Amino acid sequence: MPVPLQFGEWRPDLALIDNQFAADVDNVFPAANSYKPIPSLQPFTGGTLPGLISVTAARKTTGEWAIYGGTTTKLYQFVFFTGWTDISRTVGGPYNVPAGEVWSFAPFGKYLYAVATGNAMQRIDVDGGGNAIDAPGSPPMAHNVKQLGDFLVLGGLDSNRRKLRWCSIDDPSAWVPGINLCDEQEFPDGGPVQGVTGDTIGFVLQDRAIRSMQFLPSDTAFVFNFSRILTDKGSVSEFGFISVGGIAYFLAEDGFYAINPQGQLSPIGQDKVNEWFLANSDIGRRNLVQCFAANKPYIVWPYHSNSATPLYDKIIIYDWSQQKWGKGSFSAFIWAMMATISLDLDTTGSEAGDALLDSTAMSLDSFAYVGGRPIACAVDASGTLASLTGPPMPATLETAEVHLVPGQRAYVSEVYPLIDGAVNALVTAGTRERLQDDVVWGNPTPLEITGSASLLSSSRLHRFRVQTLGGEPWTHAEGVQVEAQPDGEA
Amino acid sequence: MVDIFDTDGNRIAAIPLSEKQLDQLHSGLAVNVQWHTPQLLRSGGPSGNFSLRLIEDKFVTTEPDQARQCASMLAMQRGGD
Repeated sequence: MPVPLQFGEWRPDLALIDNQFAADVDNVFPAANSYKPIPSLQPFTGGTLPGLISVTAARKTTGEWAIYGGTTTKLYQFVFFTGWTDISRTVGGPYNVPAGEVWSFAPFGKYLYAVATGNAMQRIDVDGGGNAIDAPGSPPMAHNVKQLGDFLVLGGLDSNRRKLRWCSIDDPSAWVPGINLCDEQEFPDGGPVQGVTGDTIGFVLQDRAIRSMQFLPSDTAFVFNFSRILTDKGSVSEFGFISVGGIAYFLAEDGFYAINPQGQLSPIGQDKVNEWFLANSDIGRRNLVQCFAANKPYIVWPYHSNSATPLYDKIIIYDWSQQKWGKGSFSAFIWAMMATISLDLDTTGSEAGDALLDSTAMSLDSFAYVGGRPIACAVDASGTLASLTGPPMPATLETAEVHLVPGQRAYVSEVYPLIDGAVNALVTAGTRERLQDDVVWGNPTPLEITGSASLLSSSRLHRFRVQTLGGEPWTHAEGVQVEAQPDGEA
Repeated sequence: MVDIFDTDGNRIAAIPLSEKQLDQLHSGLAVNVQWHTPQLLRSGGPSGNFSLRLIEDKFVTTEPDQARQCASMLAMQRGGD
């Protein structure tokens, strides 16, 4: 009697007895009716630089992309094969980014701007190259920078964390309030400004409030309209928010939310992952949870799973197209959404995807030479910049716990995982006689030539775990089919 | 801060110009300075604008009253200097 058990939606906050929800998943993306593998981190050649706390990508006027990073004392540009080149300012001495703070980057025209609490805003000429300089116009020191329309907005000023200031219209070298629409806004409540995000309409995320920020063309009295759209709830993390398609996603004290500019709040983690996340993340560093939006419809929050881990060691993933969750296990100093940088035309061909100039592999006007394809990147535990493009990570998927034969014990003779590929996957049964007992896990059992694992088990309650090996390709994991029969009532 | 002159060559105010505005002026373009009473001085304060040109190494405006009001607003921000 084959019994199908799906790896259903991962909702660890729900009761997981006799249903089709997945009890646990790791290193998988959620999909419509299955899970997909998460690639491993693939190091960039020459990408090692210990101490990186921030990375970003910026686009030149010509359309090519460049990668930048920062440590607590320096700013760098990354060049294939050459590695990281110091582009720190030459006047003013080394930077001094405090512990727990990172560089916040924002492009504006041909420049990339970088801020970190306690440091003068830096301006990097993406087109012209060269070293960073203290941004002209005496902008205030701030925690966060974001480009919104024709303005560069500084959030969480050093002088007053409840304030933000924006530059003159279309002029990030002008920061005098009152001139060409430059001004600042102090918020009377809601706590410190964690940062600004958004597209046409901005969101100001405070730790206990969220405000929308809308430009008022031709209104020189206010310039921007600020409306508090959420009270007593905000972003608990200084870096844990992002906007996609005009919707802001953020981590609050009690879990994950999405909000639109009209204030419509969606508790995207409620009865799904909130309780699990709060129980399985380091409360002491929840203010450091990061966030980035991947190319596919995923919002990713890297976090620390416990107080002992020095690095971000986990990611939790929200698929906003399907409102489903997944998670992964990676050790990284920092995560960011980047872009592939352009390939040059004069390498010897050892560059991945590149070819000799006289090769016919790619035409010289190939899109591949421009770069710019979005990729999720991290600085791994060795300090190496790496992209999420490697072979699949070892994945774990676990079914809910079920009474395979209601009212009786069930004898399981084999389990057939519904995974294409992953020929060396292992299947393990977890059993217990009563809901009051602890679950006992058996030995991981390999697949046989039939595609089934011959694990033998007798119990009233069963759950099944499938583990794939790292590097082994597969596409979809749907569930397992369990061969079970009644095994008596005693 | 740069000195602003009227068309008779009289110095009327000093206001900050950004790197971008200076580039535009030095390339022969006129620059429009739009000013308003900022949030921290907000009490129904005035706003306005004036244009600038670089003429014989002097930043010249044809709306000196506006430039004076702008400079006054900036002085209030700095604490009345």
